[in-house]
Amino acid sequence: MIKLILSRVALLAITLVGASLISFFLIRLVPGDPVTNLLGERGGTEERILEMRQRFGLDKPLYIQYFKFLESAVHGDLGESIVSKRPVSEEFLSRFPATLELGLAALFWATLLGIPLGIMAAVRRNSVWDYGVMGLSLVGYSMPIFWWGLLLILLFSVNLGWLPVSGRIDIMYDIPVKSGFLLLDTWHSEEGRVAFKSAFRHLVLPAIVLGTIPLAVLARMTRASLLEVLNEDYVRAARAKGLNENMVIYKHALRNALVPIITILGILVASIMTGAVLTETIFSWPGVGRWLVKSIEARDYPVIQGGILYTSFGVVVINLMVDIIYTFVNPRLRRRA
Amino acid sequence: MFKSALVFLGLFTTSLAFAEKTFVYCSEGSPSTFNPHIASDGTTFNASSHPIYDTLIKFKQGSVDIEPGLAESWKVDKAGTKYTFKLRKGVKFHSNALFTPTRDFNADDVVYSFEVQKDTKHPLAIKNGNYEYFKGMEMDKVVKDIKKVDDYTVEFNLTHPEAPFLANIAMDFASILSKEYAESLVKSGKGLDTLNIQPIGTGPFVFKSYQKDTIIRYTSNPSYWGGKTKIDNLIFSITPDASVRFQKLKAGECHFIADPAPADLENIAKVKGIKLVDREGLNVGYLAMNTEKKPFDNVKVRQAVNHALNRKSYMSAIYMGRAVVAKNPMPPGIWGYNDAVKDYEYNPEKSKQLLKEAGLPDGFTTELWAMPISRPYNPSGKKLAELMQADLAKVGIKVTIQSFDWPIYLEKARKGEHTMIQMGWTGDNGDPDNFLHILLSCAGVKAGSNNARWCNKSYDDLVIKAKQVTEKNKRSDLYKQAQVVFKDQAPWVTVAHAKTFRAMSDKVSGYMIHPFGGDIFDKVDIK
Repeated sequence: MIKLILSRVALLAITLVGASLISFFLIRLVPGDPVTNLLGERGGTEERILEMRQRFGLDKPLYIQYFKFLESAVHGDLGESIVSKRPVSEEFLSRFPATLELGLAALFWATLLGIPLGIMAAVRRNSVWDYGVMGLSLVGYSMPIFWWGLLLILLFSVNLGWLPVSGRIDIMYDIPVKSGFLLLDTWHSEEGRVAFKSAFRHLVLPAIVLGTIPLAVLARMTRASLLEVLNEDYVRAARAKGLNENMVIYKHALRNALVPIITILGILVASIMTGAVLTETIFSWPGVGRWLVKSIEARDYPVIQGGILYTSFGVVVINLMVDIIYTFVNPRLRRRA
Repeated sequence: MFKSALVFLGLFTTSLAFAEKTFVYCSEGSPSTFNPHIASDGTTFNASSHPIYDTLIKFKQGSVDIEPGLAESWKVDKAGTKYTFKLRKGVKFHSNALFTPTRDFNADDVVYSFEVQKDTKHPLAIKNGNYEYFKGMEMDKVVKDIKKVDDYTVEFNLTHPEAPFLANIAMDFASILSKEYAESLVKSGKGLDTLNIQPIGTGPFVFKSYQKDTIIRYTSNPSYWGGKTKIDNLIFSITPDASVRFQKLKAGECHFIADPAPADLENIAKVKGIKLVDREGLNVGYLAMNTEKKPFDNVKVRQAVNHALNRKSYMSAIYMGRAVVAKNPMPPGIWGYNDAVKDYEYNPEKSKQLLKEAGLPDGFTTELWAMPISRPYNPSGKKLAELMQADLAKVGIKVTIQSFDWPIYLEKARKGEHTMIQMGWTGDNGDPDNFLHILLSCAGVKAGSNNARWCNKSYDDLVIKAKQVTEKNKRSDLYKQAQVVFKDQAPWVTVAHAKTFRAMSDKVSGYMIHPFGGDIFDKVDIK
């Protein structure tokens, strides 16, 4: 086990250097730079542009810029945003809890609904239920997130008036930021349950939208995985023993079928990060995704580099955790490790 | 689970019911800072300079005319290089958890607010702070020095006569910050960066808190020198997507929305309880011809292009009737606008004739760059380019349409790589100089803001002279003459002046669209 973790940590370092290289050079390959962007339609003389490039350190050769960035990054300094003039790490950490809260909520409901639906489809294979679930999951998987979000807002917020349109909490609550997770912060705030309820209500629609694709993936994968297991010899043996069908499915088959699902969950984390960009924009959710996109538009190099580094770090760590859990639930791997 | 299902069913609805009057503005983006000295975008000014700060001179509500702000009166000497301002007495700065002012606003604050922008090595200047707007308006070259005469008198000495100076210091970047606050931040070790996140000003609203990318809170300033505002709380609810803003307005989650999407305007006007207001914007959309490149170095070719384009048809097809055909490079809302200028009429025959005279009877082949982003003065660059392409084909000018990502578009345009290019401008101080000099002077060719790269001696002399005389009537005359030269030499096809729109709850009163496009709420009230 320790060997596995150590080798994974070494891999983590390599991944991060790779991510830093790609984010650093890719954004510089895109024409236009922060200076052109700051000047806008007004333009600027050559001297002014040169002076600004010097101020942002953009006049040095690329490889020197990269090593400077890498050197400070190793010391935990990701530089300062060109737009807001605040440290990148502060900007990231203040937004990360919002994305994490939304991502977890999305994953929670996707799992809660996706796995049972997959089981149902597998157990009643080729029935109306199966076709229904598979059809719907195909629709869910292909859903354009922006359109889906707006549709839900129109229905639940504007026409029915059940849920708020966007934001994280009703504007009447001014909750001091402690953990950054609003559900926790409101629970412990002076306003208590009322504020918590408001934060919860604001979380519902974005979580549904962000969780739609993972839900569809989970339902399909659970079904496929369970069907495969149901064809195994030990399932046949269990049936032959005369166990009732529920026992066969939930005790023998499902346990084994869920092992690959854990890996899928790890991969879904990355897909949730991607989906967060759009979801956060529609629902005015103050998270990392929206911030990164804004920074790319502004060619805010330090933010893009730092943000991507942080995000890839998060995804890699979660995948590492998934692998460890995987070894725990899969006895064969446990012994080998 | 049951409980959350109940919540999901939405037994609770949002309401804007407060004991105090709270005005909610659904804004389009997050401010980059709360320090207007180092900002350059409208979103940031809406959240910083407009509610929190004052300037020496103000623009009258909804107008490009100026009126006294923190300066009660001013005098200009004969040479036009010395401006003396008498400051308002008894103006209080706000306080916050870090700072309680010990004195009223005075000349020290004015000198500090300009000196930090002029001299980036000033001990109170923000490290790495880019005072871009100040430099963009060339204030570093215009202002020689700023002197405190006494506590309530300040003198600005200019390097040369510059009539637009008064309009310049009414702009957002010229906001007055508290010197005492800046000094206290240095002393306490909090650092000057705190100015970017915990602002102190003299304005109608006091900054309370900012939750990043979500909500900005202000309260009314009870001791505001211009009188307390009618609303008690001002809230910015940051909502980046335009359609979602409209839905929030419909659902009653905000009183007022920024930048309604052009596609939504028709629907907005139909919703009960919502009103849509508009006014002519301070902008111009145009097609510039690169006069440094053949065949556009020939004035006849440029005139031919002007005659070839049927601009009236664009107003309905592209602008949906939300713009008027432009004939001058600046909009009619600005003084000095020359209504006597005769526009080129749509006349393909005349256009062909001019091409013949220019030695191009069979026309020619060229490129047209289409604006990649949507602006009120050009909501759909690609479609507009296609209509222009069809019109030009009729007179034998074959055009291929090109477009790039916005930053690349700007960069390439600045370097003059284009031949014909769509561009536009929204004025920021209401002075004719802000259009006629920036966009068409010889200096503008160097700066990259003159997209026709047109440097005409007689035009340039007129707009430079108009900067140097301080008398408004004389300036107005000079600008009118300059517009005649412009029209005759035809470096652009002037396309449109677009209207700007705002949507709000019909409970809102007292709002007037600011010609420069910013949103200002010190006069609003809600029923």
